[in-house]
Amino acid sequence: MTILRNFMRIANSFRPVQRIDNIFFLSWRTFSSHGTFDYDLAVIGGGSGGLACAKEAVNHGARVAVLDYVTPSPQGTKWGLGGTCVNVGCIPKKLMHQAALLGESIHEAISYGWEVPSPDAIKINWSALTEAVQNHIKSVNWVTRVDLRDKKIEYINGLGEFKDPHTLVATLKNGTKRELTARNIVIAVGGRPHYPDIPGALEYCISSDDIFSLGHPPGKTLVVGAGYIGLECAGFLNSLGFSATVLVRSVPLRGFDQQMALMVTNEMEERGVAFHHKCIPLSVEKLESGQLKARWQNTETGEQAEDVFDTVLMATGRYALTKALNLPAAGVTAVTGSGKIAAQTEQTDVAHVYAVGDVLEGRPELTPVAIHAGRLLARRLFADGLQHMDYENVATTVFTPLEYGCVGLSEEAALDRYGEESIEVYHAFYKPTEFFIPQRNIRNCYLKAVAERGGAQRVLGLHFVGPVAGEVIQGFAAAIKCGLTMEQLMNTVGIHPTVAEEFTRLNITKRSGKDPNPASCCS
Amino acid sequence: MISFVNIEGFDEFAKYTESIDQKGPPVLFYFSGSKLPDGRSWCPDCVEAEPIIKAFLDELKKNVIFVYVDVGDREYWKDKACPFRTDSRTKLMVIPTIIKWKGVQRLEGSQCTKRELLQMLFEEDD
Repeated sequence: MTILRNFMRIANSFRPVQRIDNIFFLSWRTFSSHGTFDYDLAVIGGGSGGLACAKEAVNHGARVAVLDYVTPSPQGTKWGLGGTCVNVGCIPKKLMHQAALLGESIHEAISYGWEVPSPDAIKINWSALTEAVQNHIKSVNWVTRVDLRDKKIEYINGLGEFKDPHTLVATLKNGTKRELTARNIVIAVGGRPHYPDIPGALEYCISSDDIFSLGHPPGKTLVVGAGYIGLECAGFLNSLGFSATVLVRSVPLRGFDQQMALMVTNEMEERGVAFHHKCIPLSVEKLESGQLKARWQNTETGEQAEDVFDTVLMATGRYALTKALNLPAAGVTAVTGSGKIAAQTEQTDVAHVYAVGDVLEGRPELTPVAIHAGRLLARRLFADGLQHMDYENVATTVFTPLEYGCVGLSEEAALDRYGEESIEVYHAFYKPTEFFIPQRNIRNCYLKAVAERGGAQRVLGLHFVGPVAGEVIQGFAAAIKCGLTMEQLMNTVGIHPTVAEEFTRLNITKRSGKDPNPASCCS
Repeated sequence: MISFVNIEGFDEFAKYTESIDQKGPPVLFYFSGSKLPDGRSWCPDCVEAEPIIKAFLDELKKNVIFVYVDVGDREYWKDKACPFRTDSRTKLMVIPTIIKWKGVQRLEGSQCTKRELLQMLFEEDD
C-alpha cells in the first residue's frame, strides 16, 4: 500500500493543484482492494460511539477511517481525540466528583479518630485539580491515538461534511481539505452545549466544555440549568468550596423520576446550593471588577432578580452537530426539528449512511449506549451480525453529591403506561452504616422499586439515592434484563452491611400507607 | 540531530532528570534490561525492540535527546519495590518502555517494535 500511495503522490504532483479562494485543494485517491471506495467505513466523530464502531469494524477486516475535529468553544477551549465523554464529559466529571467526595471524607475521617491537623485550613487547589484531570485526559487521548494507529485505522483530524452520498470532505486545522470516499458512513458527531439567546451568554459565560480546564478557580458560580449536567457541576463546585446557585427553568432532572429528583435537590440545598425555581436567565453583563452580573426572571411571578458572580456556567441542554455535515448532499432527510437524526435501527433514510450516539433522536445520550450500538452496527455491517441495540432498561446515574442511580421506568412513566391500579411501588428510607459516626444527613437516603401489581410482580424500575449509586444499580440492570420480579428480589439475600442490600429488604408499599422509615438495622 | 545519552541505574537516571533543560529539545527515555556478557539483554522483548528502534533513529531527522536507560538485571527489575516501578516520574510496568519526558506519551512492550507508533511518539509535537 505504501508503494502505491507514494506512486500516487508523485503522480498527483504533476497534476495542477486547484486553488479555491486561497485554500489549496489536494485530492488523494487510493485504490482499495474492495472496489472503488477509499474505505469500507468512514466514521464522522471520534467519540464513544464512533471509535467503538470503527474498532469493531477493523476486527472484521474492514478498511476504516475516523474523522474527528473539535471546534473551539465560545471561550476558546479545545481538546483531543476521544469525544465528549473522555474530554469534557463523563471522565473529568467523575474525577471532579471524586475530588469533592474526598474533600468530604477528610472531614469525616476526624470523627473516626484520624488526627487531621488544621481541618479548617483544608481547601482545594483548583489548578492542581485541573492539572491532574487534564493530564489524565491527555494520556487517554494518547492511548486512543496509539490504539487507532495500531489497528491501522486512519485518523483524520478534520471537520467532516458530505460532498455526495459516498464522499466526505474533511477540513483540517490549517484549512486544507481532504476528500475521501467510503462504502458505508457512520455519523457519530455527538452534540455540544446550547447557549441561551440572551445578551452576554456567548461573550462571558462558560459551559461544561470549559469548566474542567478552567484556568482560574471558578469562585462564586451561577449554573443555569438543572439537568444532570447543571446539577452535577453545581454539586461538585459547591463541595469543593465554590458557592453555587442554580437557575431551574421548569423542574430539576426533567424526564427523570421527579420524587427522586426532589431528594437529589433537597440534599444539594441542605449542603448549601441555592436554587431559584421557575427562573430563566435574562442577561449577563461584565462589571468593571471583572465579575459577572446576571439577571433572571421568575416565569410564574414575573419578578426579576440579579446577583454578582465570578462565573456563569450555561447548562441549558445540548444540540446535535448535524448542521455542519451538509446532510442534503448525502440525501439524508431524516432530521428532526432539533437537528437530531431519526434512525430507528441506526440506519438513516440513505441506506449506507448510519448514525450512533448522542446524534440519534429519542435515544439515551450515554456513552455505553453509543459504544454498544456502535459495536452491534459494525457487526451487522461487516460480520453478518443480526443483533440490534436494545435501548430499553438502560441504567444510568446522576453523580450529584448524593448520587441517584436508576434503571427502567420512573414512577410517572409506569403510572402513565399501566395505570395506578396495575402498579405497586415498594419504597424505603435507609441509613448507611458509615453515616452514623460522622452524623451524615440520612434524610435523603431513599430507594424504591416500581413493579407490576399482579402475579410475581415484574420489576419495571429501580431507583436509588445514596452513596455509590452507580455501583449499586449496575447489577440490578442485569437482573431486570432477566425479567426480575419483586418475588425474586425479596427472596434475594442481602450483603450486610451495604446500601445495595436495601433493595432486598424492600417490603413496604406506597399503597399500604405504612411508614417507610427504617426501624433499626439488621431486622 | 539526535543526541544519545547512556544511563545506568536509577540514581543516575534521577540525577540526569535534574539536569534536563526545560527549553531544550524533547527528551525520550528508553528503559531496557541490562546487557548480558554476550551483548544481548536478558529481556527478550528488549532484544526484539532494540534493532527496530535503532533503525528508526537512524532515519529520524529531528532534534531530540534519546536516553538509553539500563534498568538493571532481571532480579532487580522483577522486585515489586524496584524504584523504576514505584517512582512517580516513571511508574514502569513493563520493559521495554519509551517515555516522552514531561509528557503523557509512552510506548510499552511490543508497542516499541512498531514503526508507526515510534513515528507518533518521536515525530509529533504536543
